[in-house]
Amino acid sequence: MTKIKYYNNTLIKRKNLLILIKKAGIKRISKDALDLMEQYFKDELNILSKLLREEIAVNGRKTLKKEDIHQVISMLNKKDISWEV
Amino acid sequence: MKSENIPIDLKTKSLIKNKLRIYLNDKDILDVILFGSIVKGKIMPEDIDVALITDKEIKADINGFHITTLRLQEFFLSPPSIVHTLLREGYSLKNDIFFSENYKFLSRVLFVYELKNLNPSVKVKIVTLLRGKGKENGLVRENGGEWLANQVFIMPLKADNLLERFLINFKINYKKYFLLMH
Repeated sequence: MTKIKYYNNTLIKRKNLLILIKKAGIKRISKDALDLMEQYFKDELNILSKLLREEIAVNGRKTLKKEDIHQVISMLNKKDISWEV
Repeated sequence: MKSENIPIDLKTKSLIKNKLRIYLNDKDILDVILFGSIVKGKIMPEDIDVALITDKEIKADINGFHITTLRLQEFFLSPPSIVHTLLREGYSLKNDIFFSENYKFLSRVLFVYELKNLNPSVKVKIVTLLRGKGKENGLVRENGGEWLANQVFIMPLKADNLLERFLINFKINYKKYFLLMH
């Protein structure tokens, strides 16, 4: 197996991610699975950031506030995005 | 010619293309055209509108996609309203350009608004947000738009959703027109 030269660490440090996974009761995780998980976090974060950028523009602000995050997350929870699955 | 105003990001586009692969590879289908909210800049639309241009009988059903089949002759003989929509906002997945760009037209949205009913401080805020202040660009230029006159600006199609939401949020009276510019 080729050694991974760098970690993504986009959203959460790999070390912390491993701790989180182990706390949840998963004893071992493959490197590929960990990479995939990191990629998934990154994609989700990208979408969330785009939605938040739009939300603050619509509200005429430059500062991201707690209520923007609540608004976007409630909007995401309401939606049933079936085409991405 | 690649479109200068690709309405969707590359990853979403490749995801959509992957789902529609069988239609994109079918030589009997002249074009696969995206339209609706995804083209107008909605980040996570509930469903994706697609038109297949073909004379072949196709029963298309993909989860999350709303697929309409259009015969070629429908573009010339009593065209249904979807033909106007495709000309206005259709994005050809086979050619990777807006459908109207095939005919050397550019799709734009024209906004005309008035601030009469608003109080002065809100008026100033809205003008600053739309036009910008000092060296900073406002919402219009930041999103690829252009001012034509006072309270009149045009936007690329991908920014339609954003600007409309902004105007509705601030309860501004506005009118919107779709343009095909040559």
